[in-house]
Amino acid sequence: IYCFYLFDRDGVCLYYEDWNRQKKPKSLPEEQKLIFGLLFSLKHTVCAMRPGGDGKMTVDGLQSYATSTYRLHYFETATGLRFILITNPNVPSLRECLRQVYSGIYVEYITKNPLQSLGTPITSTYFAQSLTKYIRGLPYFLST
Amino acid sequence: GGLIYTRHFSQEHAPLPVNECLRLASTFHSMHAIAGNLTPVGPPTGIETLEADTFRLECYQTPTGIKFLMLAEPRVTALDTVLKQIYSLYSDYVLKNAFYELDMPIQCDLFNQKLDVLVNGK
Repeated sequence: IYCFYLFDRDGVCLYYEDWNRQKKPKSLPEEQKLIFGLLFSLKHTVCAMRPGGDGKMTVDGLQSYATSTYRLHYFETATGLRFILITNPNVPSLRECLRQVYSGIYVEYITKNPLQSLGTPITSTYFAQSLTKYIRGLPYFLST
Repeated sequence: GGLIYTRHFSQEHAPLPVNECLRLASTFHSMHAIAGNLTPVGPPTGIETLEADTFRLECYQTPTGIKFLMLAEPRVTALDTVLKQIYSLYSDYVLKNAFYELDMPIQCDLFNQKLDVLVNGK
């Protein structure tokens, strides 16, 4: 598992963390904007390409994509929150894990936190700790 | 990044209009490149597979930059071997066709026939 991103519906990166990443980007905000933009267009393209679909936008459209060097897992909630995990290509779909991160960690520490305002980056240490603990606990964490 | 060939095989779903295909193909071409550059490790390569809820997309890029895209049901696997076979059909019936100009839309009957046989036989 390389890194985790959390974006809100306006493209603000609420949270980012990386673990086993070898190649760091030159500019993290640039990379975050690039990822958000790419996923936005990819999601639109997927919804337009769906066979039998009428081009309507749906939250479940894009689930994951893979290149030869990494795999990106995508989970979007109905409120427009986008949970993204980047892993090596052999890892099977971690969408359920992202769903767990949303329901078990995000909802617990962020939605229920009166001090956390929407649209601002997350600074809660509880969130960071439980996310890291959860991710490190996954069997794919160190697989290369 | 221009679309030179499109073929629809499914009996259940209506084909996408040609303009849609053109637009989606060009968008995919750019996204393929951007996604390749976002890699956290190793040299950049483009998108090879994409999973959605109702379909699966596989992309095979040849060393010359031609991309073969295939959309199928989510359960289907081994699409990359099919794409490689299509690539060899392409090099036999399109590139060796003296009347075909590179980067123009493909209108070779033999290529269409062989493609039908390959896909319908699966």
